[in-house]
Amino acid sequence: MSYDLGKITETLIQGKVDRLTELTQEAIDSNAEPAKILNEGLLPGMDNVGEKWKNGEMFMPEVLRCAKAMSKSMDILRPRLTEGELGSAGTLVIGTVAGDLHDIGKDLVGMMFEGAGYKVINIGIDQPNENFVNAAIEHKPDVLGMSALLTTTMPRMGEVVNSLKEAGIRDQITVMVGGAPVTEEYAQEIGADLYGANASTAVDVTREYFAKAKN
Amino acid sequence: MSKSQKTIIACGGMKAEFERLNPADNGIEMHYMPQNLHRVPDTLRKKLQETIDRVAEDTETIILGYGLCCNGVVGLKAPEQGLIVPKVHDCIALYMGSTEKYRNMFSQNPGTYHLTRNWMDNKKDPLGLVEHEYKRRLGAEDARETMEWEIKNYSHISYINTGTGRTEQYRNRALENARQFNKQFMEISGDDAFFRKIVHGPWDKKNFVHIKPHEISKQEYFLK
Ligand code: B12
Repeated sequence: MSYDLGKITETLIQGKVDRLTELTQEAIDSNAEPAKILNEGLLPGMDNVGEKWKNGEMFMPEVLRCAKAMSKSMDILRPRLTEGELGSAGTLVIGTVAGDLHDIGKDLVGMMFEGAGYKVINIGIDQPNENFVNAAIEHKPDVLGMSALLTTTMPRMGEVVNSLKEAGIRDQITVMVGGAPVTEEYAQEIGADLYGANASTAVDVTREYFAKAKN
Repeated sequence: MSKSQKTIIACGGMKAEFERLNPADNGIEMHYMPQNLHRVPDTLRKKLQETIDRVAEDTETIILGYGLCCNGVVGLKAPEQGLIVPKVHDCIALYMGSTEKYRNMFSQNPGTYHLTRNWMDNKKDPLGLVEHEYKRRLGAEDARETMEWEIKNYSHISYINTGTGRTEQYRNRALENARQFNKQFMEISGDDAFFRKIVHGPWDKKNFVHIKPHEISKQEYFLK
C-alpha cells in the first residue's frame, strides 16, 4: 500500500469527510508517520482553506465541511501521535470566552498547535473568566489562548488577563488572543502577549516568541 | 438641485424597518447597501467609504445605518461634514431597540440564534440556508448535517418581531426552524426606538459615535 500526502491535502480542501478519513487510515496502514500526515498533508490544506475564507473565495458551508473533515482525521491521528510528539513543544490551553459560542476558528487553532507538537487542552465555548484562570493553574500551559468572535465578548479577554494578574500567575503564562474582530492593537491594549490573525500565523508567532525568549 | 439635509447609508437588511418610518417624506435620502457585506468586513469598509465620499457632495449630514459590524466601520474616514454612526455592535441591537436590551438578552441566553424577517425573507435562516445554499454547494445529504453541526452549540432560536411584514408567517417559519433543529423557540418583541433615533435624531453621544471631519473611525469608540 502507498500513500499520497498531496492527495490528503487536496481531499481536505474539497471537504470530503469520509474520503479523507479513508486516506488518513490508508496512510497510517502504509506506515506513514502520523506527524508527517498532519504536517505535510492536513495542515497545508487547512492553511489554504483559511486563506480562501478570508478572501471570500470560500463560503461557510465548505469551510464547515473542511473543518469537520480535519477534525475526523485528527481523531484518527491523535492517539497515534506519540506522547513525545504531542507535548514536546509545550502545552496550550484554549477556549472561547463567556457569552461566545463560536468554535470553528478556535478548534482549527487547536489542531494547528497539535500539528506543531503541542499538547492541546480545549476547554470549549462560553467559558467564564474563572475557568481560564483555573485551567491555567491546573495545567500550567505555556500558552493560554482565548478566542472571541463577537465584539460584545472581546472584553472578556482583558478581564481574564487581569484575573491572571490577581491570581499571581500572569508572568508564568503567555497569553495569546484571536478571533475575527480582534486586532493586534487590541491585543496589546488588553495586555496579551501574542495575537494570531489565523491558525497558522498563531503557530508562527508563538514559535518566534519562544525562540526570542530563549536568546 | 439643493442639498438634501440628511443622508442615511444603511445595510439593505434593515430596509423594511427604515422605510416604515417614511424617511423620504422627511426629506431624508436613503442609500441601501447590499446586505451580507459584514461577512467580508474589508469589502464592507471599502464600499462604505466609496458611498460616503460620493454622497458627501450633496448632503449636510451623513448617518450610517450600521454598527461596528465586525470592524467593518473601523478605518472609515469621515468626510468634511463628519460621520454619525450608531454605537452598537451589530444590527441585533437596532432590531431590539437598545444596546441594554441586547446586552440583557445576551447575558441571559448566549446560545440564541436570532432571526428577523429579513433573514427569513432572504432565506438566511438555517432551513433557508440548507435549502437554497448548502444543498447546492454540498449536496442534499451533507447540507442538513452541516447545518446541524454549525448550530450544535445553540439552545434557542428566536424570532425578533419588528412588527413589519406578515409576522404570523415569520413566526411560523422561526418555529419550524426551532422544531427541525431541536432548539427552543423564543419570541422577542422588536422596538423601533433606535431606528427612529437614526432617522430623526437626537444623535446623543450615548447612542452614537460622532467621527470628526477627516478623522478615522476607531474600534475603541464603540467599545467605551
Ligand atoms: C459561522 C458563524 C456563526 C455560526 C457559528 C458556528 C460555530 N459553531 O462556531 C452561527 C450561525 C451559529 C453564528 C451565530 C451567531 N453569530 Co456568528 N458568525 C459566523 C461567521 C459567519 C463566521 C465565523 C467562522 O467560523 N469563521 C471561520 C473561522 C475559520 O474563522 P475565525 O473564526 O475567524 O477563526 C480564525 C481566526 O480568527 C483565528 N482565531 C480564532 N480564534 C482564535 C484564538 C486564538 C488564540 C488565535 C491565536 C487565533 C484565533 O484563527 C482562526 C483560523 O484561521 C462570522 C463572520 C465573520 N466574518 O467572522 C459571524 C459573526 C462572528 N457572528 C456574528 C453574530 C452577530 C452572531 C449571532 C449573535 C447572530 C444571531 N443571529 O444570533 C450569533 C452569536 C451567538 C453567540 N452567542 O455566540 C457577528 C458578530 C458581530 C459582533 N457583534 O461582533 C459576525 C461577525 C457576523 C455578522 N453578522 O456581522 N455565527
